[in-house]
Amino acid sequence: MLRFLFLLFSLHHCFFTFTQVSRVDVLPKSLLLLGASYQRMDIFSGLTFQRNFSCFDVGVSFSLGTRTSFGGQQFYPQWGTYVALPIGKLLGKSSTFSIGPMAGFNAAFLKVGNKLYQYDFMFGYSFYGGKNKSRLQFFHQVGLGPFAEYFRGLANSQVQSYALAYHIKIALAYAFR
Amino acid sequence: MPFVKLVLVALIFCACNKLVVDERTKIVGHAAMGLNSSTSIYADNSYEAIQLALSFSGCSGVELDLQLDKQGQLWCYHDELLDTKSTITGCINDHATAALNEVHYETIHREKLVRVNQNLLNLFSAKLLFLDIRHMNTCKNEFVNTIQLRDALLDLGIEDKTNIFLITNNLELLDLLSLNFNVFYASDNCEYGIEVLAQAPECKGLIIRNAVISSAQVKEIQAMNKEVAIFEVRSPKGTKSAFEKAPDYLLTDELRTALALAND
Repeated sequence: MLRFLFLLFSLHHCFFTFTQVSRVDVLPKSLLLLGASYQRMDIFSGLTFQRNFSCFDVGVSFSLGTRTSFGGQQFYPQWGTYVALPIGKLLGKSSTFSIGPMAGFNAAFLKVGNKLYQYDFMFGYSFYGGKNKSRLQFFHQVGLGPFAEYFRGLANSQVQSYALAYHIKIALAYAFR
Repeated sequence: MPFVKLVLVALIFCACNKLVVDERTKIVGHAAMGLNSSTSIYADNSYEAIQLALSFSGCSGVELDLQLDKQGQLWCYHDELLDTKSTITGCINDHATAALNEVHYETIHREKLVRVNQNLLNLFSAKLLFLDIRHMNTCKNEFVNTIQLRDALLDLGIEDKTNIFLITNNLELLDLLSLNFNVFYASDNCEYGIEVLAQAPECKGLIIRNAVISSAQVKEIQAMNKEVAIFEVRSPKGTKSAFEKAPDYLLTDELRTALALAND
């Protein structure tokens, strides 16, 4: 009898303790992020809105290069967009966080006598997560990719320079469910 | 509550207080687009970095580091050892010209080592060029041949150029080169630097780190009819403080930041 009760307890433990909560109820429909991104040219701080669809996430952002805008007293805006594939979410391996590959594009503008136009593509990963059904989420993104800068130089000639750019973004997110 | 509002208004006014840059201050790119700077894109002292720096309309010129090779040719390279940034090892002073012609920086662009010749000098017809002379052979711990160095500089035909300046921290070289060239004395001690300027009438001026010179000392040197060049300027705060001292030249490691601050 004791052996039977032990077997029953063990089976109950296996079946119910590791049961996952449906991710649909846990992961947010969209996120509003406030954060900073460490990049090659500056530390950009600003807002990002991310919409989470069933098999991909899309984000748009607007931020300011803080060192140049506040320290250097010159407006340095950057617009960006990205798409992320939330593989972790799709596989259902976790109900409270999402992680997956990400591809994005950023465009920035700066006037330093010359008008500089800076563009970069980034490829990396995107992560967000938090406590079960929490409004507050942690967001993190890392990207690496080509960077291009264009401006009209002396004698009105087109100046182009290319480099490798990097992005390390950390943000706090408000989750809309 | 009214006090908090007052503080907020004061903060807004302080934040909007635009820096006024003295008209005499010319912005110069340190090692072209900056030394050890992530925003410089190209390797310091490279041809690509020089061209990029000179393309900015507010940039008055660049500073480059000068080293003598085994055969008496001059090369632009900052570090004492080639190992740190290039594809070969040792010191420039111990390598032949032909070998250095093949050297690249170990960067994504693989920029070639730049030899100082007429092609390079032609870029500076309307711009300033500061040449910082590296007179020590670190590999052998000895001075380079100063006469060979002077002759190499004379071969460039820059002695009558008013837009090309030499920089040295060696008094012997200062005496030797001041006879033919516009030479700045480099010092980490402002009081000592001012003493040297007082005793060297041929010396053009003093080049010094931003952290060790005050606004009053800049004025004192300018009152001696000498010029002041400030370097090691990187952060926006440091750049602002350097601009406020109103030097004749600002050698910046963050060219875009300096140009942004100077831009109306």
